Amino acid sequence: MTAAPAGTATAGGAPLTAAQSGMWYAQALDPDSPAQNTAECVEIHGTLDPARFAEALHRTVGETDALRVRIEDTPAGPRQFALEIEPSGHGFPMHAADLRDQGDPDAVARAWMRDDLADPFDLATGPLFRHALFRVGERRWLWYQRVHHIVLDGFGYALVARRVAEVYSALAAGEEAGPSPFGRLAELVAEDAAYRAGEAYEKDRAHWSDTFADRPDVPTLAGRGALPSRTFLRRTSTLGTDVRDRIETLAGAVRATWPEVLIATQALYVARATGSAEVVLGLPMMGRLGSAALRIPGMVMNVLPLRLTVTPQATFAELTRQVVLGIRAARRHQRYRYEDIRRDLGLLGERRALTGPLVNVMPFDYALDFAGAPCTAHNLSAGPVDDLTVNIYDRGDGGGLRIDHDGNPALYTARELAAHQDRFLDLLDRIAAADPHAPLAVHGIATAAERHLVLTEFNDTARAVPATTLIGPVEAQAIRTPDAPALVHGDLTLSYAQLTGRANRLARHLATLGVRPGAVVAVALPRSADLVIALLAVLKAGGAYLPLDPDHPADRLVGMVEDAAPVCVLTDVAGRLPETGPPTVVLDGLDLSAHLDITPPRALTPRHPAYVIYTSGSTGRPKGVVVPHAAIDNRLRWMQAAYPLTAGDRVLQKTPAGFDVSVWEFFWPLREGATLVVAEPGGHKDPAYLARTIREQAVTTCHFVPSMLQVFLAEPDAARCTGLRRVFCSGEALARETAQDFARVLPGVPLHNLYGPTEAAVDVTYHACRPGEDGPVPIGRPVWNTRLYVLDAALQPCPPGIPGELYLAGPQLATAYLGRPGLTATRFVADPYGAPGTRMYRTGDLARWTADGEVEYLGRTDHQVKLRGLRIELGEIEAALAAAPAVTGACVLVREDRPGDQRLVGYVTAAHPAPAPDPEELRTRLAATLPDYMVPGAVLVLDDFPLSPNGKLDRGALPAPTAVTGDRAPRTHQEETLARLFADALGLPSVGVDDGFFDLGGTSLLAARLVARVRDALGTDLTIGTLFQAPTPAALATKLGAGTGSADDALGVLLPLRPHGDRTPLFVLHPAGGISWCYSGLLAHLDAHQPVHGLQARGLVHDEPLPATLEEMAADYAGQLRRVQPHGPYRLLGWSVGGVLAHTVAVLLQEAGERVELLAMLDAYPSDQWRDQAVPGETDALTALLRMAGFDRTDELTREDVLGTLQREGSALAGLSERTLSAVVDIVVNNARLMRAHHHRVFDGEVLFFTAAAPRAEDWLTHEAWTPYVSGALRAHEIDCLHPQMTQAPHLDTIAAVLAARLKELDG
Amino acid sequence: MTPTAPFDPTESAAATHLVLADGHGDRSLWPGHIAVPAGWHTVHGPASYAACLAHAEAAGN
Repeated sequence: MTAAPAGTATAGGAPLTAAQSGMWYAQALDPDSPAQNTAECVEIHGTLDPARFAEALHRTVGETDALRVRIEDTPAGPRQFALEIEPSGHGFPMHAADLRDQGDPDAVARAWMRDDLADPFDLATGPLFRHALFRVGERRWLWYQRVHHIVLDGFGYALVARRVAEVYSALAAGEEAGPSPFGRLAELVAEDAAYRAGEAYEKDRAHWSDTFADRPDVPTLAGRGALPSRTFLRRTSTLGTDVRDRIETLAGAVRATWPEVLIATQALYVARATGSAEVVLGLPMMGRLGSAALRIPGMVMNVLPLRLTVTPQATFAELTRQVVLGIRAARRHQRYRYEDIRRDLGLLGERRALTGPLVNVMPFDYALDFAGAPCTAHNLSAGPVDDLTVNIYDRGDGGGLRIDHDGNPALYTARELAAHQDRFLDLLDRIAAADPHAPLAVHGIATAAERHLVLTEFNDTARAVPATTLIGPVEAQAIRTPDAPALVHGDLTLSYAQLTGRANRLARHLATLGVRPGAVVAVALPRSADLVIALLAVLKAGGAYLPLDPDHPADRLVGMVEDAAPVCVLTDVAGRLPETGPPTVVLDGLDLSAHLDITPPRALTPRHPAYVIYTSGSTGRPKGVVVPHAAIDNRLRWMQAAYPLTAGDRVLQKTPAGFDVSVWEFFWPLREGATLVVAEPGGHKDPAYLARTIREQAVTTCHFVPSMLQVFLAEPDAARCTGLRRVFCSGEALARETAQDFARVLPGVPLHNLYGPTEAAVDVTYHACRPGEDGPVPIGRPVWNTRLYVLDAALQPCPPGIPGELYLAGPQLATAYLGRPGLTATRFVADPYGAPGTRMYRTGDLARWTADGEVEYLGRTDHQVKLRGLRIELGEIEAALAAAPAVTGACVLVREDRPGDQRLVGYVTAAHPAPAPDPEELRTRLAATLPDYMVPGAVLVLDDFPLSPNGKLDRGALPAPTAVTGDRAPRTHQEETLARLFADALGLPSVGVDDGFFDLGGTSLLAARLVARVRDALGTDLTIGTLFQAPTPAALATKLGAGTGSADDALGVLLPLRPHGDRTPLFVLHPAGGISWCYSGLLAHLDAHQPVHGLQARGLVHDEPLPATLEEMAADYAGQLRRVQPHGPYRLLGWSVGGVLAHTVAVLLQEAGERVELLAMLDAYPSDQWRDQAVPGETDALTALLRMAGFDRTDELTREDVLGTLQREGSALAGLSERTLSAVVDIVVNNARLMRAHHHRVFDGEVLFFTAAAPRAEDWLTHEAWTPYVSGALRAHEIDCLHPQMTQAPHLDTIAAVLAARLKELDG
Repeated sequence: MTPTAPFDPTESAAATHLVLADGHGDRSLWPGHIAVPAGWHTVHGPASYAACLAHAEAAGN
């Protein structure tokens, strides 16, 4: 076969059509990919003459010039060149085989086809098609054809097959086949060019740009995108003729065609499976109507987006109408390319899809025969699959419809693909049998088997429980074990008898005030034994307790008291709360001796409320959730059965009482004879305190919100909490990494993930984490008597794997929102799947079932967020912001600009021309009414809110806050180190010494990381608690006791950069200016147990004579370092002049008989190299001073200018006094003089050397110059920076890494 | 993606919702296009979301 210069594709070749271009680029991206192979297999039944068949095939291919091309990239872009095709047997790409003697001829043929399909075509050489003919039986043949999609589409296949059959039949009859019906490639190319230059092109472009102007998000069944794979998964089914007939009848009834019914069904499926009312399907179109291309077997097809709105209210007839009209509109603009629409909309750059699943209906007539032998055609590959394509073949052969679901294996498993197909066919079957004028809500996408699985089998939780209350079992336990320890708080231990006795007296007092079943009592006490006694007393009197967190703003607490109208407010000291309506009972000094210590009488039933807990409310008002005894009693009975507590267990109470996790902490141990260990107020935020308490109090059981668990695990002592028998997580999504960290830090301790809203008595699902598992941690299975429903927009159950909203049902549901019947009716709604007349609670959480009956949490359906386990309605904060004067609009969101760092940010717009609101005033205002965790860390004032094209607030376009940092420079090296560590942890370029960590957006998670870094860098004992008390670098430096305010402390000859540690100390020697603070950046990268001491010049603090020789200076330093470490081996390092000093000190130590195991020099050069250079004057000294701070000197002329620069740039050196700065200049000049006069002796050993390798003026400097003065090797590392940059990040980090590795070797 | 939760508030005046009641005095808002669950009966509507909410609020007080 040779390339022919003749034909329509002339010597220069023909350009590609727009349709071909997209495919060419896709192939060029991955030249070895077979993804664009398309293939069909035609099964021929009857007698066939293979030679005649080959002849017919060759003639047909000869008539099809669009097929006979190769495509080469030329300087003018890719072009197609004609190929001459040899006859069969002489190079025509056709394989023939008689497989009749094979055991399974069909299998052999299929295997051959599979292999062939995996073989990519070479576009540049061609040919771009291949055939095979297998004889698989006496009267059965398989004709296989594979073609690169760039030269043929599905319609073209049908044209080719029809012509081959026609020519064959003519040859068999001894007749002429008649003239070729085919048009030429040149016509396609010309038509394409004319279209693109014409008016229609512009009109079509405008149509598609208008239709998709708002660039809708496109839902897909996988919920994510991926690059096309080289292969695809396929699931094939056949729709019988009976179903097809019913679909045709339905189509007639709604004035549509059967393909439109199938497309409408797929739209319904996608809408429900993705929870999106907006669906965009892709419709491959043959693109030939009214065109010469109707006669041309070539590549013409296009994919057009069909945008549909699918709501449960609409009927199937209405949905089908949308499809009909949508396709009609698309057809009018069908020549405009899919690739061009994506480009016009700017989706290419964002790698965003234009459509969801494709529905490819191919009604191509294959009712062919080969001289009377009939055939059936099967598609083997329809081309690349980006996401999911439903191919529907109507071969016109009376065999029903074949349906292939093709999926991208990067997005779908075979099992998922099969499930999507089974459900689609099941839905189609039900739609065909249903009234097309009924709301779509009657249809669910789950099959009958799946419905049974998710509604019944997964919810098989019925368990008989006695009708008891929250408090009854506590009282029964107190009678069983009166002397057992019930409560421990610090040094105080109360037995069951003591605890219930005190609670009984108080309960009796409360009863005299009118507390009885159904009444509410507010409890405003800090965490303490009295808090527990108060809660027990309220319950014992029959009342429901309302916890008020004394740390919350008084306004908020007063609001709750007004809302709940409690009988009284219990508190520890007078004045905690402003006097409001109900009387206050102050426990401090209250004499209860008149009351009996036995259980008071009360008419309490399981239906009475046990507690009222307020949660954030979206309309700006918190709402009180009323939980009855039966609900929490069921919850605690399940918990005891699932995780049996015994008398030896000790449960930590650390959750604030206003958060419902505290309910099981308080009451579960007391119901079971275990001991309650009460943490200090505020202790729940301090991981070091918690670790200590867990160890000292032998705690066996405790709870963490996942983000706090992460913080706790970062605490070194966490690993010593081995007495734990079980740890529970709830409150927010538990990250798999956290669970894995837990298994690493506390191996063998079970970790349980629980889930539930306050509205369903703490928790309704549970999952035991197992080490080694991956993927998201499920929230698990339903607890006793609890049913979970994952429902779609029509309240139909979602099958496993399909996300929907989570609904809860069963006795754990709360009674109501206190005094909010309207709100109650919208959240606690009629249950269509429970016993008649029962309710279900709508959580607002997105979830899905796993195949084996656990639930995975996926996020929220609304604007409620969980931040560090605390439930927040953004609407409540927005309402508070909007209420401020001058604010016209408010929006609040949780940003995660750094992974794992979630923070609240508020945005407001202001009324003009009033002065813009002050963000700090707004925050202060919020803090007066909202708890701390609901006050945004930053509030930004905007001119306008960014809007999406369809006029909605574009949350994604809201700017990230930029931290405003203070400008006071560090005074000490500790401050400088801390400021840098703060900045690193916060991801900011710099942080002022007076900037608060939490003010700059620090979270407790980031705080944990910062504390670990500070511990490593400074070797000091620091807890997160310290950081809370001292949140600025300056305050923390003071707290750490090392840098008490004055820089002078850090100017002594010995500078303890990290004084403690069990490794051999590293001594770092000062550069020209005499100060060694520049080495503090090493600390974070060296082992935390590696002590580091700086040696600094004399004369920085007091007037002292400067040394007369370098030898004298080195001898002084040798004496100093021996005060720290009397004998070797020694480790020395120095930068610049410091390197020369380190060498000199090393030689002196060796001469004194000591071992020096490390001598490291940072860009230091021996005296010989400097001797002929002029001694620097004041100007050079100032340059050197700036260099010490890491700056290049530009236009600073005087000492004042230099000082100004240092202050402006926030250098630690800016804190130096005038006197010290003058001393530094003198020291620089003196050092330069001494260095030139020095004569080196030989150091015995090797040197670790770091060269500043960027090009510099002093190009004669070379580490080779040390060779005469070093007996061992010079191990040089090139650092890509200039000399002054060596002690700055990231260069110092690189140096530190090499150094750390060497130190580790030395440590053995 | 546009969520179409059946209980989402709408500002439309269209009669989209119902208020249901059970035998215990509980009220439930309910989307008008979905069949009423067993054990519940309609006490108000079809009416707008706002009207149904107001009805449920009044009925409970």
